[in-house]
Amino acid sequence: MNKYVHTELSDLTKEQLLEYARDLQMRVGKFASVEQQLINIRDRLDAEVVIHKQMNAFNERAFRVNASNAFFQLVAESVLDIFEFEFGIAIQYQKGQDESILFVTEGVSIPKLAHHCLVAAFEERFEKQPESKVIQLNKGDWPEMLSLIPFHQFIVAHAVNTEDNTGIYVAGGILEKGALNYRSIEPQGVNAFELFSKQVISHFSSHQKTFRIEKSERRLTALANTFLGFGSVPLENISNITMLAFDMLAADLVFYKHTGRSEPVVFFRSETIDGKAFIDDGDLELFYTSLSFSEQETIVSNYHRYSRFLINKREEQNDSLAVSHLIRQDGQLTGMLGFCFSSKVKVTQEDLQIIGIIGSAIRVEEKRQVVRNSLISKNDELLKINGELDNFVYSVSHDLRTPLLAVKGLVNLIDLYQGDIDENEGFFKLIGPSIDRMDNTIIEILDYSRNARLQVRPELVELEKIIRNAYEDVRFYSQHPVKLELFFQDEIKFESDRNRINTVIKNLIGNAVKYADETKPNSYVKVNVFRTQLNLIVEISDNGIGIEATNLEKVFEMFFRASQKTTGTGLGLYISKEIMIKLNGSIKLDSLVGQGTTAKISLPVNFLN
Amino acid sequence: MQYCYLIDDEPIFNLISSKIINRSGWQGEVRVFISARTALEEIKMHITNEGYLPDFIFLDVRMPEMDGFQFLEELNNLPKEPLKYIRVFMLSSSLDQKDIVRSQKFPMVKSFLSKPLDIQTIKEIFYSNKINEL
Repeated sequence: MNKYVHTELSDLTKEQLLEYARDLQMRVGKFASVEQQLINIRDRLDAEVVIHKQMNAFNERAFRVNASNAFFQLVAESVLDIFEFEFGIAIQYQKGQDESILFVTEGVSIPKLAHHCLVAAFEERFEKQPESKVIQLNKGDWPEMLSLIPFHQFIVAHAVNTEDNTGIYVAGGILEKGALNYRSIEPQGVNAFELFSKQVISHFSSHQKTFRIEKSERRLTALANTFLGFGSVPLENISNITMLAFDMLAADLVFYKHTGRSEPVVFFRSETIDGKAFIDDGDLELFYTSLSFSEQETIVSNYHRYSRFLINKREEQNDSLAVSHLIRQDGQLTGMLGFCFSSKVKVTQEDLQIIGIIGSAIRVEEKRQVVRNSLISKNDELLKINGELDNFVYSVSHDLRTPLLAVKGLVNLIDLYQGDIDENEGFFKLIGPSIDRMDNTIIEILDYSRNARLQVRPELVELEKIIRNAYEDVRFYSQHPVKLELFFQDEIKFESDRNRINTVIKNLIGNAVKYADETKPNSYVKVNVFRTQLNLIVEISDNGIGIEATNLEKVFEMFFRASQKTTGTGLGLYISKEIMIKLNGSIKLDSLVGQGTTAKISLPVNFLN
Repeated sequence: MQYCYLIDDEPIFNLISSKIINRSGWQGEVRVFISARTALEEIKMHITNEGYLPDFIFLDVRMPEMDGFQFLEELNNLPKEPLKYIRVFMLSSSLDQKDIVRSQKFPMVKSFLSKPLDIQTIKEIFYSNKINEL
């Protein structure tokens, strides 16, 4: 170079100049090619920097992903981000299984058939080139796939983790434009893609554990939500629960059997499993009875035995596996929940735990329903009592107020008819019976309250004395004479609750007097006392007005009054019935209108001693 | 001629009511029933002859066999037109809110009164137009 610098151009000959020019031209040309090489190197470095930056970004995000699906979706998207393919694919599979899971970048859909076709193509190509880590698949290689996915070329990397038998395919799809970043670093693109696939499998393997925990947590959350969602009646929605469990556990067959039903309820039956042959009542009972008592509690851990049991029954060793949960209540088999898995599914300890949880939840719910039903019936009872009480208060206030209001009305009249002595005398005479009636009502309410409140106190009951006294008390209820006729089989003395018996007898004889038929000249009340082998019978019959058949049932109801004839309280027979219940006895009425009424009370002999 | 029916299974209240009406100076005819069914039969009998139908009914709530409400239901099942001038006044020993609400479902019922009937109320019912607005 120096010679050009230090030599004056004018000194040179034309030939020399031409030679220099040619030499210079050649050197410039060489420089341009060096420059181009430099530019190429810079571009590739740029692309590599982008690729590595993107890979780092992928790595960082991959560390944070905690769900399997999200991870593979990230892988597919990263194929796009890192290598600038037109679409990205990630396929995960378990060695030895036909099933694989495919993830693809947004905007591209791959039908199921194409999914299988793609995996088969990848598999075949890697088998042909066992030394390759990355293969290229052109549309000419698989023309039939073109109808399923529009593609020009696939660049596919394959990685396997032999420790846990998982494998992945990572693929970039090219439609028209090509893969700019991938191409720009060729031939290094293959290496980068291989590196990427290795990173993916390493991430996946290290994540497997986390993924699994996350998966079970998700299942548990879903389960919890399901039970919460079903609220108070999960048993009626058991098919939903088990369908959910089926989704989670990939069981081919889910059934629930309650001892109340003769057939097990099968909620899902896959096409490949004939549920009827698979499981029947006999199988379940036989299996259950083959277990020891303690095993029945923790049947979940015995699923292997159950599967063997079923497999022996079916004689199809490798086709299926079953898990069952038996539900026990008070030592009784109340039902069982079964999950039958295809042999392809590896049932984990965690799956068993989940089945256990579902089983316990059902058991808890069954118990809860028993409690709930008893609460409902208690509640109904309380409602009934409350209704009776309401009616009682209403009636008592009504029945107590009625005579009082009558007195009030009579007093008003006495005021209005001042000076009319005849009228006033009539009004004064009416005050007495009203006051008596009020008093009677109060006495009967006390009788009722005493019967409900006080203990039964057995003491010597002199029945004849009670009957005669009662008759004396009530014979003037009516101005029409009613004769007492008393018949004793023989002298009967016995122990029972004297006050209660007195109340019943007085009520019944009182009715016979009050409802006597005034058109008959020889009204009577006939009391017949006799013993049968088991009971003491008191029959009180009259020839009074009688009770209509339609009212005969109702007369024992609280505050029911069949007749307008007198001003009864509607409590007498009700109280009598209540008392007889308290004394373990019974009371019965027979009546014919116009003929008369017969009341028959019966007391158990064991009160007699 | 106006008619007034007193329907109560307890004769003493019918007596009190009729004596009060008597004292009020009202000129109509009072008819007493101790059974709502008998009163109903009476109304059915006169349904084609409006002149004999009651203008006022004082009706007890609690009665055996057919109570006040059953009586009102039966009246409701009869042809409306001939009965449109009947005014029913419930007479009860208790002012139970449930009974009051129940009686309001019957347009025929003009008021729900507490026993015993008194002279002021009777005068208002018979001589004041205010009662129409009840």
